Amino acid sequence: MSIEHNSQRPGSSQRAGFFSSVHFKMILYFGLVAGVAMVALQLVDFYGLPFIDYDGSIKENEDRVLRGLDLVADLKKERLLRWMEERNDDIEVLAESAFAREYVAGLRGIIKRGIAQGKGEDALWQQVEGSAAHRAMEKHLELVKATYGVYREIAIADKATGLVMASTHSIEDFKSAPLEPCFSEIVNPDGVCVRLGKDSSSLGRPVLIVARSVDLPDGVVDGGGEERAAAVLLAYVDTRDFIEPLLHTGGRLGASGESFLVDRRRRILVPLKHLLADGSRAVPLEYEITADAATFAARGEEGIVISEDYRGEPVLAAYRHVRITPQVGWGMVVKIDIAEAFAPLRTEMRYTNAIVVIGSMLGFLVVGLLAYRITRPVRLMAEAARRVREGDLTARAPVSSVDEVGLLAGTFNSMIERVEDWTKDLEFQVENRTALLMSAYQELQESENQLIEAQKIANAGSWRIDLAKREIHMSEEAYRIFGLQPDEFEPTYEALLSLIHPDDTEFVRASIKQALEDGASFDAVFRIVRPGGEIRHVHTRSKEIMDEAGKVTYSVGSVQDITERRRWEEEIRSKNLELEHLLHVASHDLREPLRSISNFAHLVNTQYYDRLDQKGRDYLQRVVRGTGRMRSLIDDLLMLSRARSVEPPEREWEGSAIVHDALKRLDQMIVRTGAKIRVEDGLPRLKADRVWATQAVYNLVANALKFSRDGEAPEVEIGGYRREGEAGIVVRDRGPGVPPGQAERIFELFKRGVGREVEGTGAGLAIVRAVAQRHRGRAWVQVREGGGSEFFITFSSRLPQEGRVEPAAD
Amino acid sequence: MNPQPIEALLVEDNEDDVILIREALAGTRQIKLLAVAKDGEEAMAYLKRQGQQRNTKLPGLVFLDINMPKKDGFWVLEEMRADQTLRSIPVIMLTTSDREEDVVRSYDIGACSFVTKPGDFEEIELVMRRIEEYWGGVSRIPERRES
Repeated sequence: MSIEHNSQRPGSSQRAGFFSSVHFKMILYFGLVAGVAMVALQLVDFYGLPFIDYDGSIKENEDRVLRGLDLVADLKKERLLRWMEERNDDIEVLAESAFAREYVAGLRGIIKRGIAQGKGEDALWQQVEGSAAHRAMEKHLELVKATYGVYREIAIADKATGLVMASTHSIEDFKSAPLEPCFSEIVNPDGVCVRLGKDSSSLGRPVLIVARSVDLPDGVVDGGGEERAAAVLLAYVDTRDFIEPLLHTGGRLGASGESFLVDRRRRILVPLKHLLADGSRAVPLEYEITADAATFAARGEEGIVISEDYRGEPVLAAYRHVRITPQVGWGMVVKIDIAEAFAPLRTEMRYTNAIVVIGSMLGFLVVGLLAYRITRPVRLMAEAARRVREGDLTARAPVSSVDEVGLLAGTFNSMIERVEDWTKDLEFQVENRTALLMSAYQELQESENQLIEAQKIANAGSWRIDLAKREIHMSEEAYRIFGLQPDEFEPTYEALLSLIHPDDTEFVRASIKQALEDGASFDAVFRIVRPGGEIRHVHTRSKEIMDEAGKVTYSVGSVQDITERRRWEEEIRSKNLELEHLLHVASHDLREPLRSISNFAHLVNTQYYDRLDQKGRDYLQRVVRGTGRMRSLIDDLLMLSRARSVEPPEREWEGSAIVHDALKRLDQMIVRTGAKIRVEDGLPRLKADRVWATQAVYNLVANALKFSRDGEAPEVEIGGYRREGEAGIVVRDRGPGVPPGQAERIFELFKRGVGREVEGTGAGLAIVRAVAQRHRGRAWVQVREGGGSEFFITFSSRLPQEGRVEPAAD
Repeated sequence: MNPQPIEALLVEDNEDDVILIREALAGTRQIKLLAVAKDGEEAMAYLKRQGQQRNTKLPGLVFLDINMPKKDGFWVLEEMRADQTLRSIPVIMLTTSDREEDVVRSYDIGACSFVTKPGDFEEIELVMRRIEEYWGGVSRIPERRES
């Protein structure tokens, strides 16, 4: 015999595994702290801290790369400028030399004469070529070219005609200069021109042209007010040999780095290192570059920018303005791909991240080992505790240290020792008590037999639950009620619950749980299903017995089979309902024919009065009076039937308000009888249906108004009535009083206490009683001191019972 | 005030009530009883016949009981409201019923007024005088139609 608990055995969580252990939590928490700290430090190192000067290593490295590029750009600009200056100087020396000026003067003279003679260009050229000055000049230019080694060609052309006076070119190629770049740009005597362009050869190679005017020697006048500048010196430098190496060598630009020049219109002056986005190669002097850095440089600005280049690649670009001559300024762009520029930085970050990950893992490992060591004694103690719980009182926890955990293990062990002692002591005592109990049991058995007989008579059984031992004991009669045999059924909690009607099981289970938890007694009516399938109604009551700690240890109670009682009550209730219905229908249907009788009697009385003799008129009057009485009776009957079906009220009303309403309706009657009415102060509040309470008070007062001392006006007093659980109204009169034997009878329907001389149907007090009963109250009459009667009506002040299954006593 | 009395059709199965109402209407000047029908079918037959022949007339007002043998008052009301000629005739429900659902349903399907028949003859007289005052004086009804 045992009660089964369906809760889990405590302590099963002890085996819940590694992930809920202290060990795991230590690893997790310490590991997380270490990991988060390392990651945070690394983030600060990378990205810096807000509000202070430290910007982080990423920013620092970026700055370093930017500064490097800036420096390279400056150096390249410097080199280019210096180199250009040298070229200018070279040409200046050549143009200013007396030798050159002398020969130019001579050749100029030949040309002038030729023109004066009207010679054509070819003839002029042959004349020049044949001159000694030409040959000397050509030799000189060859010498200069060979000396410097920078220039591919050098030429001197007549400024006025464009005829080439001397040149290192072969003659066939180059006879006339006016179409040469720079030639026409030298307009003033000091003119200097530097341009990148294509040379006049059939190949059209990109060249740098440095041009300068050559003046006639001092004192020689060309005549006709001509300018002193008589010729133009043109020197060509192959850009591939000189400018491009200048741009592409020196400085740490890396594989993707390059530098190039643009003119004011953003046209590139030198070939680009990379192909364009469409795979073609940009043609110098034709391709216009639109990238940001080139645009800024072409505008004459200087600076550094992160942007996309002509390929659409993100680049780091420094742009410079290079002023070659006062008229000519080039833009220079030095750039490098972002990917390459920041590559070392990325690599560094990757290494650092790897170190953080490895560091964190090592941290976890170390923490794990430490946690294992620290939690080991606790785990051993938990294991010992588990063994004790399973009944092994010899289990002990090893004391391996002198710290708090060691102390705890020691305390635990001494505690178990005491428990072991107590247990032995207890077992001894139990043995003694058992012997004593056995003898007491014999006596009990006898009295129990008597109880069984008593229960059989009362159709009531009893039961007892020992919560500590989880045992249920049921009396013989209790077994019988459940339709069970004591020797065939083991009364466990679940087995008993299974006997309860499925619709009631949940309610009963909840009620029992409630009772066992707070010790409130359990009182319920529910259905059971006997093993044969028969449904019985039982009423069960319990009393919970608690120990000093307020915990329920025993539950004792009774179980009574109320099936038969239920059946009768149901039958009575349905019979009553039928009667009520009959009463209502009958009185309602009676009104119809009565109305006809009444109306036609009235019509005869008004329209045929003259034609009736005295006797006929008297009879007719009796018909009219009879129908009037009949109508009052039926109205009262209807009212009574309605009063019996009033729903219990849910709110309270002031008694004085109800009395006031009733008196108002009685106004005419009060005036007619000249009655004196006195209403006491402080009437109670009534929990009643307002309409029906008013009707009841009306009936009581109307009744009182009919009775007075002979010849005097009625005197009526209305007061309050209060008792535990009920409140009401009392109406007192000074009438002749109710004879003792009549006190109950007058509340019955149509049982009049007085003769026909007093008006009324005999339903008024019956209605009062019906109203009282519907409100769980009472109505009665008693003799008043000093003569007369006191009529009472009361209403229950308790709220109607709710929801729960109640014993069927209604 | 209408110059001529309103001619009313009374639909009522209870002969006692017919007499009482007739008596009560005799005391009025503005309402004259044109005809009486004992049930719904008879009422509709009468209403459909009227206006078909020459020199017959439709009632200016209908007093309609609800609970009647064969077809009840609701049926008559619905039929009237579905008929082109009859739908404009005002209908006063005159019945013993005081049930809320009857009141609502009556107005729902086109009754102009709902009067619970009083029990006493004196009260019936009073009600008829009130109806006379209202329908013969205060309120207008469509002009009488003769075919």
